[in-house]
Amino acid sequence: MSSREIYTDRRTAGLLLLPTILVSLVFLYYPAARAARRALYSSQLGLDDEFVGLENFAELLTSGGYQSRLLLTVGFAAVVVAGVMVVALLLTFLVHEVGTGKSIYLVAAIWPYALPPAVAALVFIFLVHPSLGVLSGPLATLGVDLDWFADGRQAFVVVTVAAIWKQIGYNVIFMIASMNNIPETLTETARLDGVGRLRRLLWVYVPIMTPTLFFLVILNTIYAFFGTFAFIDIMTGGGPSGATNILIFDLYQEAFDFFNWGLASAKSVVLFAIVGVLMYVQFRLTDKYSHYGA
Amino acid sequence: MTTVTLSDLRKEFDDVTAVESIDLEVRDSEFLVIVGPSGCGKSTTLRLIAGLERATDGEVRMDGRDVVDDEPKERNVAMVFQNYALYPHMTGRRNMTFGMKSAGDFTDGEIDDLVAEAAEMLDIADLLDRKPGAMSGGERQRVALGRAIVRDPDVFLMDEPLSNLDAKLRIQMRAELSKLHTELETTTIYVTHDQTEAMTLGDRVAVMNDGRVQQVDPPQRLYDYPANRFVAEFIGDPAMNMLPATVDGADGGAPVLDHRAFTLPLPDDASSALDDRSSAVLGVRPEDLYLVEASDGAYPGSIDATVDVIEPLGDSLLLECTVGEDVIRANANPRADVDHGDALELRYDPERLHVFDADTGRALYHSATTDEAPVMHAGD
Amino acid sequence: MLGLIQYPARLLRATKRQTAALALPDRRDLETIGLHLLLVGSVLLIVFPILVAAIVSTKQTGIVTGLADLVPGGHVVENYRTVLVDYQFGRFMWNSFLMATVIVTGKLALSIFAATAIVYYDLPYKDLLFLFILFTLLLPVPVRFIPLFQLVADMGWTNSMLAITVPYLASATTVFILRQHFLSIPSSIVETAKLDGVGPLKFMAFVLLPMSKGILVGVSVIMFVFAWNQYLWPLVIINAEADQVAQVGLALLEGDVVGGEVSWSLVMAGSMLTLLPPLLLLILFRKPLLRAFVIQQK
Repeated sequence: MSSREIYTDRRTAGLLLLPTILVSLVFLYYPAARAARRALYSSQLGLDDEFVGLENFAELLTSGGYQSRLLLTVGFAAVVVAGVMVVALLLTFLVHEVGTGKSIYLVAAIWPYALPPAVAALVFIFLVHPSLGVLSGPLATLGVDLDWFADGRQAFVVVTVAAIWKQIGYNVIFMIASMNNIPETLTETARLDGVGRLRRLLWVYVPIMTPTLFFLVILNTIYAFFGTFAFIDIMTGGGPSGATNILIFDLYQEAFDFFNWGLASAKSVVLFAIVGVLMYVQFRLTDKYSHYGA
Repeated sequence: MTTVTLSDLRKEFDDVTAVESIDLEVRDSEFLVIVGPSGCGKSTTLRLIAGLERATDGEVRMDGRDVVDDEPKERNVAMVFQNYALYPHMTGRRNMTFGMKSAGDFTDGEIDDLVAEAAEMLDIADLLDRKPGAMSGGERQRVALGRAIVRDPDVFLMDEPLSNLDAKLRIQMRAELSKLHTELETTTIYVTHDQTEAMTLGDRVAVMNDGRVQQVDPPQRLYDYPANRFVAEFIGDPAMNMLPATVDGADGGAPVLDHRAFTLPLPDDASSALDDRSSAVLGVRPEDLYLVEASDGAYPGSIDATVDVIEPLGDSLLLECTVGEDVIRANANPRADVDHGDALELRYDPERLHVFDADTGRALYHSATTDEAPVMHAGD
Repeated sequence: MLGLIQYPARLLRATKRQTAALALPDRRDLETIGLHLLLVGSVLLIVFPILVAAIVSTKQTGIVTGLADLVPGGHVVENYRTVLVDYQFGRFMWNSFLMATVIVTGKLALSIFAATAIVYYDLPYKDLLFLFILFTLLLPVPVRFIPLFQLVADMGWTNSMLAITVPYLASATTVFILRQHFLSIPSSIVETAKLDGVGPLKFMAFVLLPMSKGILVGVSVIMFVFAWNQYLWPLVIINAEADQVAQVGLALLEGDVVGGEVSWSLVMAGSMLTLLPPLLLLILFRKPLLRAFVIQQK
């Protein structure tokens, strides 16, 4: 019954909204529309633009290379999302359970949120550099021979670990808020029933945290798809032989190495569709599970 | 000073009608309380007067001037909210003066004087430099009152201002509000769901239900002459007993109410009020029922009852009894010797009987003898 | 007398111990120690790479072949000076700082305006407007950097501060967080302002913003970290080295290592410098930051 809409002057309201709407239109909507249009043209360096309809998309769909890169990206995202969330959940739980020094532990757990991806990438290169790395020696004594500048599988693992590392803090931030929101009485009930810590985490906390965890799955997926560009660009350049060539890097190369703008635009549209689907899924899941927690 | 007149006031929200149709005259310098259950439209009515909501239909007049199209600021009203609505980042003083300075109707010197005056009146001088976070609930409410007072409004509007306070503080603030009103004599419209608050504070009380005013009268009159069943049951705690009965002998002689478990003769003058209907509802307040002691002897029209629940309240014993198939509550002597399951005889005060229409709930007859004829505002 | 008082006290303590005994007190202590050990272990693991970077940034060559070499060297001042001056890192950092500051300030102002209009104005098609702003969440930089590059290049903004700031100024996330926060301010406070006839500017300046301090700090940190860590867009739109930001500057520095010009210790020094501003903000403002995040999720 109460109302916050205390002002009615539409001119002022329009003026307040104008800058945001203008920037959105010019720098967000217009480029998106332009990409959608451009995707229908063949425009390569030195050639005139030519309308080709859905040919670019057809090319993407039938291209074995693009398909395998899509698959690679999905696999990469799956590993990153699962890795980040398991590590972050355990870490959050430890911080939640500890009594003294909680706030110090918390800061120590969330700081990677501030970590620039470029820094994370560089530090990791140095850490496990095949010839200079600090960890290369110790790993060699364990029988792991680091050769990820040439070995595709190793490169994939290294990039994945670096990407996970950077994303832990962000996840802990959301998880600790969600975990702190769980009523103390539930914890006490579990304790009185003699439920062990790990079982309490898995069977009491995780179900209640479901909405937050879903939210994080989507956020982490978007991160793995797009936010990891710097890792790929700095650490592997998509290689060796395409082993880490995820879609966003592939798109960058298409545009700025091969100057194939038409095809690159089509790839942008595909990425847009992926973000759209992810957001939609998040929206539906949040709706469905909103009865939990709160 | 100021009268407020509402005529045929109506407010619809998207899919609900909050206020059906209100006609209400608030007199100059009056303390009028609007009371009713939650959702009855009392807060919406207050917000319509403040101008925080726009009426769908009808008029709000202040001193005869139609203010429906006026901005809240132009109506010169001050409002006190249930949650105090103090700006958390401002000191008590700044909270009181911020709006006045915005309005620009006062010079700084006048503002200072008004604040000092209000602070003394409310005994909040030491709160002026504190922020709401450092005040107790009662202190915040005082500052909120102070903010309303310094505005020197034509009308005070108060929306459940005491509901967030604990019971003891509420009673204390209630008395202070009364005193304040005597001192300031500003027309005040006060909304509450608490009938005790309504009775103790109001010069007159308007009882609302389902978006309509059921009755407007001084508290005692409301209690003695409820205009309909709703008012009868809403005012008074515990609520008035309602017993359906058939009417006998209405034609000619004195009517008799026939209940399954007892018969109750009414005075002669009831016959015209009851017309020739065959059924009605008898209303008796628990405090108008007495236990028949053995020494009283036979008593005409007493009621046989069986005790189900005994609630000792200290100053009285509240008995919940079965009468026929109905439940009846009676207030007994606190130290009466009553046990669960006892069969009792209840005597009633013949001057305190009420009869309501079985269908519409409209009051048909009150047995009280008084010079004034009851004024009925029932909207039936 | 004393004994009388002590006796029940001792009894009390005994009862307490008995209640605790349900969960075995010794085991509990062990668990607590184990918990701390686990935490210290995990935290060290997360901090380890940066510790290594910090140590290496103080050494002369940055050749560390084993854990035993992980002792700080004496080239702190020299390394950082070289990176900042000779390798233009001072310049990169300044560019990054400028870019982040402009983005934070601009986004904050625009988002406050937009959220105020959305919450406090009676507007037609308001839900649609809000949806229009929210929908931009679907268009992060990676999805549109190619057409954006063409647009910004056409506008002649290449290599300019405008190019790396203006496209970021509309923020669905910030508008969303602020809107949620504004909606949590009791409506009676807003109505009090209306009863007093407080105008929109005065309302914003004296009521809304002071009541949103914590949240404004929180979203500012989020926006700063976001802006500071941008990599892809500056990489694409800035090609004059002097106009480059720290993130891409780091990648350039690494290119020099591969080329054999620079030692890893300088790269690590650059990394530490790049990490410092967002890390400091996070540590200083972690509380409002966490609060802003909690709102974002709703």
